Amino acid sequence: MSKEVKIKKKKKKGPIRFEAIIPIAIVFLLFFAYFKFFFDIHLKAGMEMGGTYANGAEVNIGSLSTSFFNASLDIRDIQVTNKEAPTHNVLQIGTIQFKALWDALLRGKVVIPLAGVTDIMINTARKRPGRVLPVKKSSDDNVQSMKSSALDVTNKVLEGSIFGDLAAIAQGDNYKEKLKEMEGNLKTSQFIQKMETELQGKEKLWKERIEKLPQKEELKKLQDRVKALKVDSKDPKAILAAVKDAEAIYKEIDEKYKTIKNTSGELSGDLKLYKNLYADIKKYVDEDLKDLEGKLGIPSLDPKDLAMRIFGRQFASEIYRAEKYMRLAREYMPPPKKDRQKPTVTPRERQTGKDFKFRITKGYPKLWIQKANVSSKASAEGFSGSISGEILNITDAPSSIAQPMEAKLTGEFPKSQMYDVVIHAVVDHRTENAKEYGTIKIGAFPLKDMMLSQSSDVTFGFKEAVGSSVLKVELLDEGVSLNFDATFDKIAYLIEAKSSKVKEILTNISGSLGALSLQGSAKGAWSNLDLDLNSNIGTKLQEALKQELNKQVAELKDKLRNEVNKKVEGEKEKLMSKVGDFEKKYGVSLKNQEDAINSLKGKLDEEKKKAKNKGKDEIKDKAKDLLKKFKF
Amino acid sequence: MTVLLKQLFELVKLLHSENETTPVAWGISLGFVLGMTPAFSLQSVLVFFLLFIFRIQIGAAFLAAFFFKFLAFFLDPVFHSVGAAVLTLDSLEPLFTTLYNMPVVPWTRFYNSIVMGSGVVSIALIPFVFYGSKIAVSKYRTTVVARVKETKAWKFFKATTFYKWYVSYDNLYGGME
Repeated sequence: MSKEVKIKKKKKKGPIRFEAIIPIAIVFLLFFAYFKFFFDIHLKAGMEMGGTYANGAEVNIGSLSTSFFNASLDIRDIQVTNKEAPTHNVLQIGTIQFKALWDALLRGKVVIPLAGVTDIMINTARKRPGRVLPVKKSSDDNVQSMKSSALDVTNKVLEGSIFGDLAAIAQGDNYKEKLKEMEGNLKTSQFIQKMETELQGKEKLWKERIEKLPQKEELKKLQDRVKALKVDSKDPKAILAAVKDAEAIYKEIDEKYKTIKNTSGELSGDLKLYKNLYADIKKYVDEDLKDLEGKLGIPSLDPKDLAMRIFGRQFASEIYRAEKYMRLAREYMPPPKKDRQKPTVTPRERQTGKDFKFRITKGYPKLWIQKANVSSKASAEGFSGSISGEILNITDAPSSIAQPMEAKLTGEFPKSQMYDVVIHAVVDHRTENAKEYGTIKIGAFPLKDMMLSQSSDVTFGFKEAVGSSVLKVELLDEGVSLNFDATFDKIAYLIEAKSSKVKEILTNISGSLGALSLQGSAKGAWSNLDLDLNSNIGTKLQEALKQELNKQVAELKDKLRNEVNKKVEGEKEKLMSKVGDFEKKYGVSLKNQEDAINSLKGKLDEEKKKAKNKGKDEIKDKAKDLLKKFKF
Repeated sequence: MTVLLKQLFELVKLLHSENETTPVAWGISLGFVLGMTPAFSLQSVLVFFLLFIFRIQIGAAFLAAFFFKFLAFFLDPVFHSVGAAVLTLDSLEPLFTTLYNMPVVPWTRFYNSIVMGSGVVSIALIPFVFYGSKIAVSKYRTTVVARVKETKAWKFFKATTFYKWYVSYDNLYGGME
């Protein structure tokens, strides 16, 4: 071979692919470099984007760092723009720190033994206004538009204003106008008219029935027949015939007697009914009075009712707010055991086989934040306060851990003058019967310009006050059990009234009241809440009303009763005289008939007896004669 | 994709060369394990790791995995029986309980009857598949390849400039296994 091709002699290669080490190392290096230099940036951008989308307005994160080896996440300066007011943040959090357990991560679970959420601030100013996304119907909007059944119920109960009503009473007698308005609608008048019509119908009916009863001529005929009976005869045959006739007449009379007696009984029943109309009319008069009192706003002097009418609206609006937030919170809470979907095995192309379970000696739920420390320090910005506390056992699978989720927070908000705030909440979804309950205590909080009643007649409220409250809430499936106890002290009242009398009453009450206490409860389904409110202002108001207004109220009530009675008196008398006429006309005539037939019956009885006795004597005489004939 | 295609070409070349049969046999054996495993799991990762670290014919592994995947459909009832039998062995229960509560290990899904059955069967059959593959490749070379080489079409192709150019190129730059 002249031209020898120089062939590269290949080296025999060993079993390990050493030449692949560099490419693999490069891949790992790139992977590492990405996580070292870019992952945090991309995660931050992703979280900002997701947060913005979820919030509907810009969400910013100051810095974010992760550590693979520590399995930790550190997020700082989170600002959540208020979409209603983009110049402010609805929430600002200084730091969120998580450190997960590698032991759980290697099992595909996230367990965070200790998390920290610090420097929480609300409603802080932003350096620049946040971007707001075009409005989309979110679940929050749904909650906003959610119709509160509690509010509906309460609004029905609390029509009108207690102080406005007092002013109306104090101002004088507008009751006549109201009475005039009601004239055509008085229940008593309507009842009397109804009774009159009914009575007319009855009269016709009774006339027909009485006409069908045995009349005088018929009774006379029967009387003649009784007289014609020959009971004095000496002939036993004639006597027997007379007895037979008497029995036939008796039967006839008895039938007629029974008919008259029954009719008389029924008539008596009807008459009794109509005679009782007085009581019924009185009942309707009372009802009319009650309606009128309601329309005129005459208050009941029950302290509970008074407290309810003073504070009820605000109480209901607070419950409405609680209902909204409960529904919103439940969207994000892990469902109770019964509502949880059973884990489904995703079908694979191949057969699934059977998973054998072994005893779990160390297991975790998918997500479990064992303890999260929450803290915040008061600052000059926004609604901020010094909060410290902890949230325990946040998990997606509550039944797999021994303890329920629990939040314990204490704090104070000096800028808002709220002190000694203690919050304790428990969300226990470990069993089928979910339990959610909690207590919120606020040692002191300010109240400014809180109007209890504001109308053109009366303005009554707190210009300033310091309150303290304890609220206990237990959420049930579709209902709530709520109890609270609040005290308001250092109250500067705001009292304005057109009527000097009302102003005087309210000034006297507020002067003597001291600290105002308010206890309330709401129990039952949201759509049918049983509200209860009690306050010493109710008792004080009751006492003052008794002193100042009782006489006026009593007088007004009397006036009303007289007015109503006057309105219906004529109709009532007319009706009752008709009833009297009816009784005279039919009751008396029927009684006469009954008496006549009764006497006829008696007479016939006598005749029958006489005939029987006579018959016996005659038979005895005949027998004696016969014995004599045969010389016994 | 390029790497995979290259590996497949390499497999064809290997089958038709005089070189050793071990990389192909190992490829088929690990492909057998991959194919028998019901889903992607930790043991699959281990097999991939072995494929990339050791000089094993990756193309053969992927082809074998593809082929055995179909076979495995019919063998699932057998795997289930074997797996269930192993998992219910009283003597192994403490071991399985320990493994069940260890980190990482549960990701292998060893507690599933088909995963366990296919694992046990494929590991037990690896020696047979390995030596069977070696014998099959040798037989292929001595029968099929030798017969193809005797055909006129192959001789004609071998005489073309393209073939000569390819051989020169392969001698100079080829050789990745």
